[in-house]
Amino acid sequence: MTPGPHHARRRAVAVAAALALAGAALVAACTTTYEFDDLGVGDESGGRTPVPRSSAQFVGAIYADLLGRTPEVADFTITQGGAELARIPLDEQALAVGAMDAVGDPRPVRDLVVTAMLASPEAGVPARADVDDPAAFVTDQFRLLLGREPNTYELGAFVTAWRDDPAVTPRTVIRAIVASREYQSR
Amino acid sequence: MTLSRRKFLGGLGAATAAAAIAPLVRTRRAWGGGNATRRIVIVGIGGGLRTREALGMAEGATMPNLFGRVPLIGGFGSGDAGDPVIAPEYAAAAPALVLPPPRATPLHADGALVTNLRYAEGPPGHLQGHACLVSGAYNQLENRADARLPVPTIFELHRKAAGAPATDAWYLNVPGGFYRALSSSGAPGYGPTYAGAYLSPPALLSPLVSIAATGVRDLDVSNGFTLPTIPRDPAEDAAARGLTAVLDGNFPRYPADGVTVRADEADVAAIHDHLAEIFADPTYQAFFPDAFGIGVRADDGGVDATADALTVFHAERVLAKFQPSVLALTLLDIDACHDSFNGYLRGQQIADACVAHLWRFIQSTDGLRDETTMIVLPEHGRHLFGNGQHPDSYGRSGIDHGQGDDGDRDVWMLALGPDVAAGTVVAPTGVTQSGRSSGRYETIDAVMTAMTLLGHGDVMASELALGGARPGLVIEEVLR
Repeated sequence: MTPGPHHARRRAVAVAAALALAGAALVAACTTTYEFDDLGVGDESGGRTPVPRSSAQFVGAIYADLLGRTPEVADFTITQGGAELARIPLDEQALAVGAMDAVGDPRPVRDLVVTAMLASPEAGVPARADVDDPAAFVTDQFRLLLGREPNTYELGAFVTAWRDDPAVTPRTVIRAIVASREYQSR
Repeated sequence: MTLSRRKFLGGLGAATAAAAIAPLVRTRRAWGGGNATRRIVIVGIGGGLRTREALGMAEGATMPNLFGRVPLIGGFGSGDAGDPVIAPEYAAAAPALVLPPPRATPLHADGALVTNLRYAEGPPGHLQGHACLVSGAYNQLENRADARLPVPTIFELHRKAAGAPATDAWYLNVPGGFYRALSSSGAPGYGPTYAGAYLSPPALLSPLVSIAATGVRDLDVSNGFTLPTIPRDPAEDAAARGLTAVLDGNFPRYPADGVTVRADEADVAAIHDHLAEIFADPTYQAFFPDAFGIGVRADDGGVDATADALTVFHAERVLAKFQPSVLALTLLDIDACHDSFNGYLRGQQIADACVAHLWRFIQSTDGLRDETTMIVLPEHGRHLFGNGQHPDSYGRSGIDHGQGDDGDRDVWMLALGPDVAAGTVVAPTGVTQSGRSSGRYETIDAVMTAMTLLGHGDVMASELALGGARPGLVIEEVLR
């Protein structure tokens, strides 16, 4: 199994701690030298060079991950008193991809589309008050969206933010993960 | 004797131009002393606009805000050109245009007009023409998403020289798609790192985007109802960004590929917030308000945007919010001419009203007024002959572009701003430069003039020469 980024980070932290201890020993003694065996910390990416998802790939991914389906072509119908005033065909894929490709860096528009999808009843995102265990919710979202567990640092950051900032809701957690380079690449 | 850049360059070979240009431009820049320009706006009336219709008013005064009603070039009479000649069957079938009353005094009287500009080289195609307007270089750019200009764009030049963020250099255009490739180049030392902020309003700024994404499929407007919007909570936005940064800090960056634009986080946030405001508006007026007053009459009595009107409206929003140093926009309604000569004439009316609206907006906005120079020109013209498509009752068919006849290449330029010699109408000849066969000012000169006013003329000339392109000249006749 290829070690994930969190694995590399744990190892990097271990090395940093070892070096800090060594530095402290040097300050204290100044007369003793130490040698350490080489300790591999892995590369930062866990062996993965990120390749950005195209807008079409990204749209396919968010419809699958957030709504559990593929983008559809459907009609938007406007009615009044039971009478149909207008029927407008909507191609979810074409509209989303077109919008994302209408800016140079698509990230702002990707986030807006995701925010809209998460606001829909179809997404079924729970309210903050309905989440009893934020750590479990965050962990579930990492598994679902990134296919891995959050590392200790990540889980701590998300749970602390949840605890300290009322603006952090289930929707915020999902938006943050989907906006990450890890999710937006392959 | 004053040594002008034009005369000097005329005696230089391309190989020596780059090395020689920098000291030359420093000398040349003292064209008249002070330089009030702090921002430039380049408006490309894209789609292919012939001088015959615009300045000659051969089909009536289609652009009265810019040029008035009396032809400004010879061969088309000296009296009032009358209203645009729209075929009756087209007028009966098409939705009515919504246009504000034309200006009492045409814009050219407040600025300087070059009536004989020449799009001298390169294919008269939209991408290549637009690319010339954002780089000052004639080019053979291919219609591909990964094609890049070999010389830096005006956005890159400005951002690199000024250390400016992407939100200080914008490119808005109608076509979208791979036209976003024009926000940066493949020039060494430049590229996506210095790309302009790119926005194609017609593809993005539509309520349909939020309707589709929110999953709303039925709307009953019988009683009180709410239009689908994208919820906006700045506190949530900030929190999400903070958490994303946690993840990104633990994940490798993308390798540079020389093509993909990746704005820095501050630019991403600023652009997000700008767009989020629009998509959160429950009235939909932030997409395009009736009050803009330019477009076509909607069934409900409001105003529906055309692509050009929508793009100019959002250019004004960008100008208001970011007050960028560089903004280029390219329009395209006029390109209806492939299939409809009457649509072409109406497109001119729309573009004309939009440019006047934009200039009025600039002049009425603190921070823009008295600091902004605006250059307006077609990216190229159209053939001198029709294509036979859909002739109207006056026998006027569609017209294509691209073969490079005089109809394709004869254009014009209107300059407005604090450093422009107002009331100037000129058609200079005898303009010399090594490699210039037109003997006239050219499209590349319009871009060079604007960039020189912004203080980037010397680096632009150097980079163009290094990239193998003939640098434009400063059109001294239009400056104070």
